[in-house]
Amino acid sequence: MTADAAPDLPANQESGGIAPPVHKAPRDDPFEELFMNEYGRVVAAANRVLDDRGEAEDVAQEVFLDFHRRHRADARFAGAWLYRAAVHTSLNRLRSRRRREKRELTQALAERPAPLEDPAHVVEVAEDRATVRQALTRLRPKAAAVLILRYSGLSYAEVGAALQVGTGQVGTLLRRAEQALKKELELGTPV
Amino acid sequence: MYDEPLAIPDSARGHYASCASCQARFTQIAGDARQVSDAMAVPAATVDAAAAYRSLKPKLQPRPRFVLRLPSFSGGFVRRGALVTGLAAVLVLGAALSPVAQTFRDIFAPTQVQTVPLSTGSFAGFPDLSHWGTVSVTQQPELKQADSASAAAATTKLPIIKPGNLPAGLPAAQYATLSTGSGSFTFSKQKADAYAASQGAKAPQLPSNLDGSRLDATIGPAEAAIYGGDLSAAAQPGSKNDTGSSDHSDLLPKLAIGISKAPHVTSTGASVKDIENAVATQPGVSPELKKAILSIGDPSHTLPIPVIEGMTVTDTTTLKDGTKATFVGDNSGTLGGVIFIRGGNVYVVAGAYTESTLVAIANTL
Repeated sequence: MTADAAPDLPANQESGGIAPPVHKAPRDDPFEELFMNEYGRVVAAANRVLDDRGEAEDVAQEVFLDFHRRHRADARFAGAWLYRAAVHTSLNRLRSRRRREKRELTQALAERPAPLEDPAHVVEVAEDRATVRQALTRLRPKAAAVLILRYSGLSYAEVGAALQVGTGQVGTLLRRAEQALKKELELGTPV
Repeated sequence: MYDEPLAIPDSARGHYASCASCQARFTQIAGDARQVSDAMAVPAATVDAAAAYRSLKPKLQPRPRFVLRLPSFSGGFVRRGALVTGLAAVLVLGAALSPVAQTFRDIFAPTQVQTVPLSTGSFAGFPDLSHWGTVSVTQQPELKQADSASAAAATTKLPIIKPGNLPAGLPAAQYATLSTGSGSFTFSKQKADAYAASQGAKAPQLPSNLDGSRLDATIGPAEAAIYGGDLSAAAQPGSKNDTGSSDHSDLLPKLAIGISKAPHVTSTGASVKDIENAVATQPGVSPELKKAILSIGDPSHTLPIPVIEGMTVTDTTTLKDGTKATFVGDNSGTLGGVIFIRGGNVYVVAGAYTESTLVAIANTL
């Protein structure tokens, strides 16, 4: 198999991934620089869990505030810490929402973009997304985290750093997590 | 091979081209990955980072101070090293929040640990003791590296740190000791009144025996075994950061084990209740902090561990010898610590491990 023949990598802009941070000229405030570099990716990770951009931005703000209280902006682990905290915080929010599925359905119906769109299809899409989110909450935390981070566009090295595992372990973890999620979606039983 | 095709060496590619089994496995993996990718897809989240930062900026506060500030203490040893900082914060805060005793002979001698949940706002609003009296340091504690666990124990006269059940892959331990430190605080009604006036508040009525009453606090000695991190860099006198806080997070060890003689405090006159009430009713002390201070059931024998609500997880457990231990963890799952008191000494086992791992280590001390 050659690189040219390889299938698409999982994360891309169309599926909600966000490109790696663009390192612009340094700012006077290291925290502001960290924020500008990482905010998009932290939101992307939270959005991957929550499927709600507004709430994902809430999570990102909470996570950055938390980081600011605890650590120096130039800490080497800043990005890894932020991604990991975003995933945990988002999963916690998701778990605490028993009626999220119902709200998503209501929201999807209210926000459907075109009047000619088939309402049944809108409901189906929203239900599918809600099912996936619920399945994520039933996975082991590390399995959920590796899926969320990888499919949000983080490299193996970044995922490894965030989860405190070696880069070489990420592929195996990802493969197992994909199988676990598939099983959850097919059977609807805890993994 | 599916997910990182460019990372595959030519030899593997050659094998793949001629191996039906590998090709079948690849097809299976690729199919699974595509399915999961489709399932995980969400609409792209376009963000305006600059606008988000403008919204966040007003909420940024100085990082919380975990001590009621004893100026020379914070300038001297509190900034030196993550573990020592943590220990010192616990001990100094314990001493400051849990005073004290009925007479000069009585002592604050904690035998148990209690978490005190507070909001971040309450931490940021911790009052400064110098508003209410005079703080002085009578013995400055000194941080030193030690050659071995036995050398640290010999210096401090504390039990030797010989942990078991250590996680695999830990670097060799570095050892440090902290000598005894002591300081005093003398209440001044005049200062308290002036501070209240500066806050636009009326000074609360204080008991007559509080004015001029003196608290003498002693902390340490303490010893620590530190696995990973950079103790020597953390201990550099000039390593404090520009905010004046005690943050050395990039030097954090993987694991740190500390033992300290429990702090004690004596009083020349004021009672426990007098001091609790005096602290709790001062202007600038939030109702939440007041409630937390007054919630410490037995302040003479309780070491309070302040934890930030929503940012930490706590748990209590019993060690094999029956000692009650408290676990406090970071809500990101990154860091945690087990704290307990045994034989008049405070033990802390902290690091980037789960509660069960830290408890297993604590059980061997």
